[in-house]
Amino acid sequence: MYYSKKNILHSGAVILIILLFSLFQNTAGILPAPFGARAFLLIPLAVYIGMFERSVKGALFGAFIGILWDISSAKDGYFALMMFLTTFFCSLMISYLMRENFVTAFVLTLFCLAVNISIYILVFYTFSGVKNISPFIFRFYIPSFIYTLILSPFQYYLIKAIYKTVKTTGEYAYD
Amino acid sequence: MQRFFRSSKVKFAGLIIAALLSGILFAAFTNSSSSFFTSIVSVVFSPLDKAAAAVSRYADAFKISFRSSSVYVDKIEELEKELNENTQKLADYEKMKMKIKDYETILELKKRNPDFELCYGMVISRDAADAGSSFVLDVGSADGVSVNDPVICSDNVVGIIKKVNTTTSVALTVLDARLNIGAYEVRTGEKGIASGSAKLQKDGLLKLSGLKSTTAIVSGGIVSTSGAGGIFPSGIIIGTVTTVEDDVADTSSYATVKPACNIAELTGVFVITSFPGQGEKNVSLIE
Repeated sequence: MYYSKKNILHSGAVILIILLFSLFQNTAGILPAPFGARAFLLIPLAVYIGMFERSVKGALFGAFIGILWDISSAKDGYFALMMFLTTFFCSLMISYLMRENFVTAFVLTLFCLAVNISIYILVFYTFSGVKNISPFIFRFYIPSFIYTLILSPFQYYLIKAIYKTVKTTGEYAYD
Repeated sequence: MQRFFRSSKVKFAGLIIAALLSGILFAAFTNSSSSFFTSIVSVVFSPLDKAAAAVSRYADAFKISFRSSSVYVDKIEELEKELNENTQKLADYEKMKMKIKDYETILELKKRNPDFELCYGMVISRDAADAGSSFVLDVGSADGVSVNDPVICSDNVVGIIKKVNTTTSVALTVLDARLNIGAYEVRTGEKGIASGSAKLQKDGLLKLSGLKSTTAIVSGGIVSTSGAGGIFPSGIIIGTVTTVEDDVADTSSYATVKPACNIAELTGVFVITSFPGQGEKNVSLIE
């Protein structure tokens, strides 16, 4: 019984974090936008949840992150699938190949950001027939990539602190 | 390696991927372009988006001044409370004023086009990953909104509805390179295609392409929808011409157009849910 209550509290806390970051990312005016860049906060969030959860449950949280992002996206289902795969990939990396620390978190964030943005540009611009997309890449996506990377260490330590506070028993990073 | 792929974790992950892919296929083949997962989650969580947008707008309008005095502490607290209440009332008043202004301009449009059916929506969020400044409205299929419904603001074109959930919808703006609108310049009658451009988007401009190399369009000309394609009704203003230049790709010219609406600062828009000729591809053009 005690284990279930802790589990519920833990899941509730994770869902709350996801909602908060979704609102921060998708509501105009909450975060500053230097030179028009935007912070894609949900991608590092998916990475860190995948790292700290280390299970299929983490991947389900990733799908939830993507579904919330899909509400404001013009093409449905894309972010649900990508965030699920991002979280699943990161949980596998931490389970089998890497240790969980700031360096691996940064490396995984950098890799997942680059892959997600690249695939987004391919699917939503190149395959949609939009010509001459280099201004989008150099004036928006690269600045946004850098901006998100700059914010990611703060996000990492915040998520880590929350996971340490609302930890539960089971196959998690902080037992 | 074989044991890993046969494990229950991977099988469960495969089931989830299959469910998500079926959602994507469902969205692709239905009229709303929205999957059942997103529709369910949007009904539950879109009020949070609305609340966050309201908080963001309130924070912009919120001003507070502090006075310090050790003698009149109670009086100061009372005055601060009164100030907060008046500031909130002022913010509400400004919001209502904006809404009334929108309704007044739309009234003129409605008088000219009594067959238009309009639905008012507030901008509640946007897709951070979309460089084309798409946004989310707080109206959806429950309010009669459908995919490809035009979106206007103060009698000017803003964009088009691209995806509809039950209580929210996503609109692409005229600055988006994926949106093409049949248009014409009012003074010369010359027709073209208005669309976004990656090069011009940062400056908040769009492109009117397909003009003759000997075009008579000049800076200051008004660009309006032609009604071609049945997506937009004819006669809705898109913007004003800023420059006319030669296209490097061929022998035609193009004009850069400044949208009539300030897309970046939109708060409330109207969706035209029904108009005569909607969806008819061979609609007669300029009147």
